[in-house]
Amino acid sequence: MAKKKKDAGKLSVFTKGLIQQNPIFVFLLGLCPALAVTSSLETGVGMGILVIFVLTASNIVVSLFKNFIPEEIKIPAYIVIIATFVTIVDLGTEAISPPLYDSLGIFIPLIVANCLIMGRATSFASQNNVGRSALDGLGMSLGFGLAMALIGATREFLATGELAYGVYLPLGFEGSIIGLEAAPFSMEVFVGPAGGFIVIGVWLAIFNAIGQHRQHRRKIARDRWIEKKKQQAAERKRRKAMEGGSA
Amino acid sequence: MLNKLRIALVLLIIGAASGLSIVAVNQATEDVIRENRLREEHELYFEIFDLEKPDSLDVDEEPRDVYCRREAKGYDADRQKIGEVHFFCVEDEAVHERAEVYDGDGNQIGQVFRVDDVNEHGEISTLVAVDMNGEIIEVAIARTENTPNYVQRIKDNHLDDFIGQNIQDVEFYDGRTGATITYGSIRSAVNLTGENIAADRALADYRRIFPDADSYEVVYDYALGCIDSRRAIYDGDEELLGHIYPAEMDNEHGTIHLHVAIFEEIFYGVKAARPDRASEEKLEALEKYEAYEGESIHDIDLDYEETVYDETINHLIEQAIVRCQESDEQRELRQLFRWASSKGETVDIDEEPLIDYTPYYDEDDERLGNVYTGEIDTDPLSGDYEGGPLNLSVSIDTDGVVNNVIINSDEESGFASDMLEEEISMFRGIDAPIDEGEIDSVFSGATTAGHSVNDIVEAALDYHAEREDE
Repeated sequence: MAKKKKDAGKLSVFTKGLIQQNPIFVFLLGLCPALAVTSSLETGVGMGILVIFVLTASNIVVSLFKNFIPEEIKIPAYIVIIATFVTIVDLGTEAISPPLYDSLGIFIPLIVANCLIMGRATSFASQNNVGRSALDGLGMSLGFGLAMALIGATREFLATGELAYGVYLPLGFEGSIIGLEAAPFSMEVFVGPAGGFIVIGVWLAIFNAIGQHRQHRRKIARDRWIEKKKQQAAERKRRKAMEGGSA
Repeated sequence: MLNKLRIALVLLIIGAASGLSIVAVNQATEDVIRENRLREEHELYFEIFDLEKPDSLDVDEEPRDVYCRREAKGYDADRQKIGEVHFFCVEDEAVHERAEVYDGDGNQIGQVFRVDDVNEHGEISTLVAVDMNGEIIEVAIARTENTPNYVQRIKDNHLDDFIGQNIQDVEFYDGRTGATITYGSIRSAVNLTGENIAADRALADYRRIFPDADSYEVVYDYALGCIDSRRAIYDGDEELLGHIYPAEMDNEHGTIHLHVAIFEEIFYGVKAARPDRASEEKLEALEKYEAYEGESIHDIDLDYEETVYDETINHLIEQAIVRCQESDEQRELRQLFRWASSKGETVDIDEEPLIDYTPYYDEDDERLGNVYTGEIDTDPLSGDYEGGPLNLSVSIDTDGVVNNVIINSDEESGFASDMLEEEISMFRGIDAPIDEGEIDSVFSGATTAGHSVNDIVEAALDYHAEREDE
């Protein structure tokens, strides 16, 4: 029973970042790349993949050495660790996928300033063991990647009427997931910064609405449960009184 | 103390581990990145000239006798040659390299100049592609660290404007200021390409007079008159072969461009610039002067005038002779008034930014106009510019027309200073009274020094107009 509970805890560490505590839509962290490099699905996914590597790796290293790093130099030490992984990612992307590298440009080195990564290092990895930190990093960065992909797909589709792949990521082929080839559907404003703000705003509203709706349903369920418990207590009280009276 | 040592040790270990990891990854990716860049660059050359995208590329990087860097051959899937690119280093600090592009049959279809620049926003590498007629095929930003939004805006709105223009006569979208730093670098790349191509062509022309010509330098740049400059021609051992005076003049057949060669009072010849474009009549007229090659300049018959060409050629040779015989003092005077022979007393002006004026006279002691000197201490407003005095001479003739403006001293940094020199010629021909905004339409004053030039010229024109009226 205890083991099952522990596994359930690990699972929640991983899954909480996907939707419930999504870094972009719930915590509003890492909004700079979310606005800047989500003009297409592929660039969004590309940035997501890079952040998965950096966040997971930095969480693992921070967690491994948390006891050796003195409190006074925690922040600079974490920055050096994160910057190392970002540099590795920067060089790796340029070697493996030059089009993605050119397309993400300055935003790859800027991952180092992504508050999501520093935030998880200080608030989670520095207080938890390696396994949980790795799961947290993976879950949170996947949530970040999912949000980036969602924003990228929305913007690309609204701007071009298409969802293309294989342009930036080294997939070895190019193709279309959706291709409406219909000019009236394409609204170029969504490729630009204004479009980024609009799409993020709409998705934030949707996530907020879903969250509020869930909260509301939870409140109703809780109220019903309390009501039910009250009724049960009243019933018990009534029965007790009747038994006392008959006695 | 122990705690501090521990902190230092931890930071040292983290720094060392970080450094080692980066070095290792850099080692592992260095070659791949370089290969990617080369491939990307080579494919771009094929794309620019509408050649098929190569399926495979053979890059020969071994230095050869004539190629200072490398050559790349592109093949399709059936190993049929699509085209090739030969890269040459250019002996010009700003121009990184020149590439000759050939089609699959080995015919040259154009050339591409790569100009590397470092501006205030970082590095920028520009490719300027021209066809065999000097027409711009494409201007592309190959690599840059400049602000992505500005770069994108220029890519979207301005790079296509260059296509189809002749490299020797490019019209920029803002021909006066360069407007942004990124566009300034592109503008400079296009100009440098034009200069390099013009220099190559000029050298080919000069070889028709001095067959051993290997290089040349501009000795004097004449701002006024039909002789453009005096150019010293050198052979491969940098021995001076002679002087050439590029000359141009309009006649009823259009503009005539010639190269007149005179050295130590000996006439070496007169040839048409770009003979491939010259009319037969013009070439025939020029042939007559071959009889004087190697003779003294005093023995040339400049009175023979059978056609309009004879008249024009004689006049240009005459002007070249005047230029080759003039003293340093005469040359200095003629920078401000073409026919100046002497100057009068300098009169102080107590009206900022003007300092003084000097009247200039021709051979018959007729006053040609005044030369005004002005100075403004410019503000350190933009970029690396630290400010400082800007001193100008403005020559205004008796009709109130600006003949020339010369910068005596300025503190502008490299690029801006060059631009100032280049654009200042636009003041020639401006007259008083100045209409509202006329000066600004000539020289927009994007830099602080630019504003000062406007102010000094405007003040000189105002002062001159008032004095002449009196």
